[in-house]
Order: sequence, then structure tokens, then C-alpha cells
Amino acid sequence: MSASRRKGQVVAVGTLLAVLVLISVTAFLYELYTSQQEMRLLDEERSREKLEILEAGFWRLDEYTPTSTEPAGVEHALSRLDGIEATFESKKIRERIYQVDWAAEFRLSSPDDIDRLYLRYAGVHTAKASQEVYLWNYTSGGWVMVARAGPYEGYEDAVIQVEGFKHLIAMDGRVKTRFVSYADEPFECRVDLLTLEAYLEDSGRVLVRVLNDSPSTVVIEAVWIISADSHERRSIGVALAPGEEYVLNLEAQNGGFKCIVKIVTWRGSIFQVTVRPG
Amino acid sequence: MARAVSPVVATVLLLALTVLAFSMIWEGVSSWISAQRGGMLQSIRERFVVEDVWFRVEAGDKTLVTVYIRNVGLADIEIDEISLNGTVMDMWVNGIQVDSVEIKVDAGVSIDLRADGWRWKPGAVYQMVIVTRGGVSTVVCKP
Repeated sequence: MSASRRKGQVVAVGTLLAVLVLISVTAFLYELYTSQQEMRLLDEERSREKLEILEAGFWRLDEYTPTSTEPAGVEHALSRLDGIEATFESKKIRERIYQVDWAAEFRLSSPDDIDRLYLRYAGVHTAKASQEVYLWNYTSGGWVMVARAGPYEGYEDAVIQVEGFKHLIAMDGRVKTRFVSYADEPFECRVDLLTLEAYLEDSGRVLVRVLNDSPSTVVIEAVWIISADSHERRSIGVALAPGEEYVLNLEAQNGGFKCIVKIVTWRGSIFQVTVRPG
Repeated sequence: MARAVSPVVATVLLLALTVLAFSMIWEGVSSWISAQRGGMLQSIRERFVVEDVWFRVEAGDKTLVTVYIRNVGLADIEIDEISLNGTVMDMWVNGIQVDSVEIKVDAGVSIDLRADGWRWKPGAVYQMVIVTRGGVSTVVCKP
């Protein structure tokens, strides 16, 4: 065997081993780089997390779904009614004006104890349409507008706080709502998850209404309820889309005494609010 | 007169020398990568959040601090030491004293901190220093 051939063999084996070492080092450097990128992304997402605590108090939450849903005003074709989801087709009421007008009725069980009242629904318009929401005034005997949504097409998650609601609830607990949508072309209006939420004063429960005010989904991992003699962690595991509201309905520890509610997200952000009685 | 080694033996010797040299290089590279994994990579991937600190009074007028730590990073963490204003605390998990606390990814652990003759003072500000394999973190807390 010639010397040059031996040299060639040694160089070949050496190169092979050098390549193995290089692959190993490169793989590690790549792992380092991807880890840095992943953590940078995680830190950025965490810094963008923002949960706005809209209100918190010692309340009990009673949720009501409609006892009846029917077209109101002009005659409408109710194309589908499935529990608390209803779909209505628009009718032409004037030249280039199409309308959906329908009503729903609720029955509340303890109308005198209500502290706050919210109307919540997911609305869908198949064309760009405006929407007005009314409640029946049992004192004056007429519809009162409680909200107006600008023209929207597609999905809208609506939460309406009803102010001055005492005269909008009948003595027997009935509440009548009316939804009127307008568009300049034929459309379909769908309302899903229509719910009336009544907050009743209750020292045994804590309600915290939060809004995801960040551009990414926030997962509420857990809630701490902190009072003078107890720190209790409760797992929640609820994901909130950007702009979504959620009501944390928690059992109070020392009913009626001040407590701190600390909301911890999956990424590790902490938001807290002090809840005081009254 | 000495005879030259045969070409086959010479080739085997040269290859053996090459492999030996690269084995040593490989050993060095491997231990470097391993060290970096435990140090640099661990500190990059390590994230935790101190969800709650509770300054408590035990029966018998003793005091303790309960801290809840959750791992929000990409690697398991190992807490080797926690000190409060310079006092190294004994760590207790589920009533058992431990030297270190391992927290898996996405998990949380409640750690009771005690020290002989140590008492927290109401209204005082405490600097909690948490030492892990990936580095040192500081949390300021108050009873």
C-alpha cells in the first residue's frame, strides 16, 4: 500500500469524525437558538397579556334563558328556533330597507334583590346590518332602547349592562327584550346564547367580571382567594379570546369580609383586585 | 538492520491514532455541550412565577412563610435554596423537610419556609432570593 493511499485513508476517517463533531456542535447550537426564540416568544406574549377587571363584588349570579322567542313588529319568517338559538330572515319594509324585528321574554325569580343586570348574546348578521336592542318599560308601557350596535357583518359577542332596570322588570319578574336589525339588502339574523344575567347581593359568593384586553388568547390558569386567615388556590383553566368577557363565579371564604382575588394566567401573569362588601 | 513495519500495520496504526485523537476531541466537545445544557440552556429555558407568598403564624407562636411557585418555562426547575433578607430558609414540602425542590413544567409547588429563631416582622419588606440551577431570581414581598 502506497504512502499517499494510507494518507488518503487517514484523511477520510479524520474528515468523517470531524463531520460528526461538527454535526453534534451544530445540533446543540440550533437547540440553543430555537430555545432562545421560544422563550423570547413566550416572554413577548406574556408582556402583552392584559386582563381588565371590569368589576368585582360579593354577588351571586343567576342566569336566565328566554322563556319564549317570537317575531315582533312586522311579520317575520322564523327559519329556525333551537333552544336559545334563533334565526330570522329579514323582510323588506321599504325600498332598500330590510328588517328583522323579534322579541324574547325572560322570567326572573328574585327581581327585588337584583343589583346589576346584563344581557348577553352572540349575534350574527349575514350582511352588514345595524342592530338596536330594546327592553319593555312596565311603568310607561313602551320600548326603551338599551343598546345600539353599529353596522356589523358576521359575529358579534354582545354584553349589555342594563342601567336603571327597576322599571324594566315586571312585578312577577318578567323582562321583555326586542332586537331590531336593519340592512340595505336581504339578510339573516341569528342570535345564540341569549342570556340575562342577574347579579344578586350575596356575601357567600364573589363575582369577578374580566375582559381579555390583549391581542392574544389568555388562559386563566388559577385564581387565589386571599383573606386574613386563608390563601386558597383554585384551578380554573378557561381560555379567553381577545375581547372576550368572562365572569369568575367563586365561593367566598369569609363571606362579607374584604378579600383579594388574584388571577394567574397560564403564561404566568398575575392580575388582582380587592373585593369589599357592600 | 531493522525492518520497516508492513504497510497494513502502518495503516492500522495511523487510523488508530486518528480515532484516538478524535475520541479526545469528542470527549471535550461532549462535556462542553453537556455543561452548556446544564447551564446556559437551562437558564434560557427556565421561567417560574411566584404566585403567592403567605406570611403565617404556626401553633406555638412560631412563624413561617408559605410560597407557591409554578414552573411556566420549558424545562424542569430545581430550587436549591431560598433566602429571606439574607437568611437561608429550611424548605418543607407536604410536611417533609427537603434540600431541594424539583418542579416539572406547568406544575406548581407550595413550599413552607422556616428557620430556627427566625420570625417575620409585620410591615417589614422582605427580599426573597430563589436559587435554581439556571440562576438566581429575586422577589420582594411584605407580610
